[in-house]
Order: sequence, then C-alpha cells, then structure tokens
Amino acid sequence: MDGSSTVPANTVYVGNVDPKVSKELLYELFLQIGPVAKIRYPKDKVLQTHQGFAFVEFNSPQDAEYASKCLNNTVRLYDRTLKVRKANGASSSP
Amino acid sequence: ETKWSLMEKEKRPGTIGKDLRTALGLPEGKLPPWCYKFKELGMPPSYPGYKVAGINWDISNLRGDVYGTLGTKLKTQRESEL
Repeated sequence: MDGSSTVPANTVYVGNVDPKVSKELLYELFLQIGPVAKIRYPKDKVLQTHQGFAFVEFNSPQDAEYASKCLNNTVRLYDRTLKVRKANGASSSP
Repeated sequence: ETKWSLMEKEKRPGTIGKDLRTALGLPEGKLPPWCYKFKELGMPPSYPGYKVAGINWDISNLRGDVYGTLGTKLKTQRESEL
C-alpha cells in the first residue's frame, strides 16, 4: 500500500541548491533533523544537471514543519543559502 | 535504490562526513549552523533522545565528524562505561 506518491504535508521544498550538491549530500543534511523517507531531486533531461531544487519527504508533517523552521536560511552549501519551506500543495502564492 | 539503502546504513544524525563539511565550509571543531536553531526551536520531534554538543550535551563531545548522537547509542555507551 505504501505507494511511490509523495505526501505533500510530509514534504519540504528545497530551493537555491547548487548543482554541485548531490542527492546523497541532501540526504545527509536533512537526516540531521529528522528521518528522511524520500528525496526527489530532478535533473534536466538534456543537460543532465540538477535544476537547483529538490523535494525532501519525511515520515510526518511535524518533521516537515520542523525542517522548514530549522533549515530555511540557516545552511549555506557551496556559498548558496538553502531555502526550505513546506511543499503543501499550494505552489504559487500571491 | 541500492544507493539509498547504503546511505541509510552509513549516514547518521549527529555525524557529518567530509563532503558535507566541505559544502558547508565548516571547519572541524565548529558546530553546524542548524544546532543553534535547536536552542531556539527545541530538539527535532523525531529524535527524542538526541544529544547535541554545546546544546544539551557537553561541548567536549564535539570531536572529528561527530557533534551529536541519538539517545539510544549514548545509553549503551554509558552503560558500558559503568
């Protein structure tokens, strides 16, 4: 039953990710504040490079909430400050 | 997905490897930046026994790649010391 679809409430959006950052590195970083269930870190199909953002899924909405508070504007990877916020469906805000 | 299970085995909270340290630009002997947030927000909800150097664990525990530990591990260490 535990399908492959991500649960929005458990998921944070991570932005301003330097292309040098690997999925493994994201895993290691987010693991520091909660157990990581899944990471989606899309690549450009043509260029095969990461596109500067990722979705990190935790086991609970509490973890996602905490991650967004704890890691947003807190961490610099390769001199770029990570933006972390709850994914929560509403992709565009006014 | 073999890579994922390998990561799950190798990586643990409280420990940061060379690659992450480099990306963070974090010198050894310094606390990672999110640790200061723990003071403000409280400890992560899914790690109830989390001990972090300089926060709720003696700062002298900050050694090499380790800055913290999950409670279970600490317990067994303590038990073996006693």
